Amino acid sequence: MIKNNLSVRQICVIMCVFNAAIKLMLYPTTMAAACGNALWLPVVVDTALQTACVWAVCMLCSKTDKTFFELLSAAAGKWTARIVFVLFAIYFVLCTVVPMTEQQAMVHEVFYDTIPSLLVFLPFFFFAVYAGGRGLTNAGRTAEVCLPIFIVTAATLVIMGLVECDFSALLPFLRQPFSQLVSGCAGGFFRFNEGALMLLFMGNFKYKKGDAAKISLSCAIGGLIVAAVCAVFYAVYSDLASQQYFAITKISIFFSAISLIGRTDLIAVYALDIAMLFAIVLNVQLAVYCLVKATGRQWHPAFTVGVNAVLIAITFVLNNKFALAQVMGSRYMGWITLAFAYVMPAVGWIVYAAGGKKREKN
Amino acid sequence: MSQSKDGAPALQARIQKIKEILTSPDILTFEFSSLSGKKFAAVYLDGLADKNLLGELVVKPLRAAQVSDDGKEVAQLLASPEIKEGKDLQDAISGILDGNAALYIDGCKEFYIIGLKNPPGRAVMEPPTQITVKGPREGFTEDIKTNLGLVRKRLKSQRLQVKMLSSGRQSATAVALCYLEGICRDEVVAQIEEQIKGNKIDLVPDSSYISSFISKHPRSLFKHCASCEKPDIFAAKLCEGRAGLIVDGSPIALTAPYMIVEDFQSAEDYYITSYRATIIRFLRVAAVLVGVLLPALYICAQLFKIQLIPVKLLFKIASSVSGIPFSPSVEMFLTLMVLEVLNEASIRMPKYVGLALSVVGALVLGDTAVKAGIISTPAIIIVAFSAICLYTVPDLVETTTTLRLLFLIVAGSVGLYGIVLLSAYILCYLCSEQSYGVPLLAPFSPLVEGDLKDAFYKSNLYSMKNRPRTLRPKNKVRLKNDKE
Repeated sequence: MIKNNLSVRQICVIMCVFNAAIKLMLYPTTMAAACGNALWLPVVVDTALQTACVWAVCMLCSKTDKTFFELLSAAAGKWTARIVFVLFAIYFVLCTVVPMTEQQAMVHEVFYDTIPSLLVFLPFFFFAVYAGGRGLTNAGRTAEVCLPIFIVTAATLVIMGLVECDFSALLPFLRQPFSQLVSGCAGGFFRFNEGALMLLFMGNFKYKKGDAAKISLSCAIGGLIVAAVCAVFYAVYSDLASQQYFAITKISIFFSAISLIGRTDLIAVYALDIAMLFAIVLNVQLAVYCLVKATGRQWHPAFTVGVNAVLIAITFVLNNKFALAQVMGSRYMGWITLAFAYVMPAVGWIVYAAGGKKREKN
Repeated sequence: MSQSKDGAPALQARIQKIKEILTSPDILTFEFSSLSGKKFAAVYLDGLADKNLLGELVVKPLRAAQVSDDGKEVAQLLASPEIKEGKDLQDAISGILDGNAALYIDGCKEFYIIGLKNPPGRAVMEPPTQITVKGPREGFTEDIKTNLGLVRKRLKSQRLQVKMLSSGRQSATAVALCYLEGICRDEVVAQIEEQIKGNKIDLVPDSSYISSFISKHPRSLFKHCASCEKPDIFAAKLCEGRAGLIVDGSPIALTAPYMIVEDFQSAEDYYITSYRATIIRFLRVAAVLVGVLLPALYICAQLFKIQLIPVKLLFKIASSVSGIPFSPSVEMFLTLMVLEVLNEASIRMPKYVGLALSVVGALVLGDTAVKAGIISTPAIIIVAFSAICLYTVPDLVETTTTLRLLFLIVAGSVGLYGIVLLSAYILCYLCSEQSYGVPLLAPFSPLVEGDLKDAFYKSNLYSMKNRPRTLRPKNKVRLKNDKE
């Protein structure tokens, strides 16, 4: 029996840890390329927008105990809800693509001295098939396990990076033209899908007074962690930051003790990758959750296998076309994210209101 | 069949009937008469029943007494404190096989089962797997009664309930299900009882069999109930709200629900200062992680990511491994296999041969293999250190040695990413596993803040006022302050 109930604390950890971990691979580099020394600013802006959206969904949770699927079914009929959830499943599969390709590239660069074949990355899908079908309860619990791992490893890497930091590289403040900052915000917009996550968590936890603030704050903290890492990254590499892929693996490289003790910082990177893996797989778990809801059946391994089969196919297609995945993500995924992470929460409020009117009529 | 006046079968006929079923020559019969000439026969199993007790408590008082024809006063005359009136032949047979004596009276339908069980066994001594410097040193033995006595000695509470169950179709092994009423959850007790009753295996020689039966996933690499050899630990776990199982013939008791963190706690942690206990617990966690991952990381560093090794150490390793005819993974695998073989042999061998074996294995074999250039010195150091590390948590050794091998295989084939994926897989698996409704990774996942006081860090006893919330005990308060 797959369980989907979550606690508020688990949602907070997911919002903070998973959403930060998934953005630490290539996002700082792309932001450095887009916005230069103001790379942290788009992160703050996008985080603020997303936090507002998460807060809106939390407020909806305070009004009703129903899941988004139940709300949709009550207001617009079961088939509409099913179609929407199939679309959500597709959206989460698409959400997996960019971080997955980033993970693949990171593995190839950071985990091996020589460039390994694609086969080395394929065991990821064994894990994704297994974890993908574990339900949201498992996602919440793994998030709790990842919390200390994330804190210890990220803090270790950032502290090692701080030694060689030159924060004056971040000055003058707002050196870049406004249009560049806007394009940075737009380019990284697709990475902020917390509103969509929250919409699916809706009804799977018991809302208590003050939970909206806790969850929104966690989301904001996650974003601020990313912004802080971006700032440290730029302070270490300055104008060269845009050419340093996988920021989190590079910020500690100049730590003076490394020449004596070896690249022990990589151990922290590998441990941090566990949190990244769970963050990527959360999208798979949500895609499977949506498919189960849409079909109205009990969970079946076929759902997880199916989602992963699509991802394997995409991996083969995008093999050695890492840049293409990035370009497609920043150009098209932003619009899709706008629809699912911003418009859908609004739809949630509308269907809630519509359901309320129906209830009044009855 | 000859019968007496009131229809009861004659004494010889009844003994004959038992002998027809229990044909083994170690089923003995002792016939004697009372002062009034009433005949008696005691049937018992040689070696299990205590003959001295039979003489003192049964034969002596009856021989000296005037017993009437109906023999109704026999029960009062017997000096044994454990007398039960038998119902039928099956009752007599199971009583005899259990080590008791069946007492038949000539001319009476009634017979008695007299508790004389005294199987050969060892004395209470310090258990070899849970040795402590401070704290009690008594350990369980193979005798269920002795073990229950050891528990009762520590828990003089009317809440302590013992349900006597039987497991094994042929062995009919006695299993005592212990719990504290009003503290342990009823569902846990009912579930364990049901699982033990539902098991239809022939023989239950040890508690490990029961452990498999009461596990929801018997094929799992991780166990689902804890084991302990010390009555003080057992009593403490009952007080926390767990149920315990003592199996006749096994010195290892079981407790459930189980959480992985239990294996990182030692009995001694509670008898030393909390600071020292906390440091040791962190050390155990680190040691297990190092023990499981070090061989795999060493292979990966050599094969896939040389940067992980500091330059000076790299030169040392390079000079050691040059000329070794095997790849690093094969070399490490072979060294681990040698260690496992040595370990297995040293446990099974007689004590004195074992001593010689360890000298041959560790000194001669190891030293010669390095000198011959078959195995490198770093590989031996890493394997030895890994083995030592894993034995800091002896209750998890079965699991951790298997995990070490798995990590080794994954590291040799996929590399560092394989290690990360396998770690994530294990975490994901553990997060979804439960033992009687309690998550294996509790109190970390799901996080139960109050229970962290006795998890990887050990708080002062006075601050642990409540029983572990994770176990959902019926009575939550563990420490009551008189002033409150």
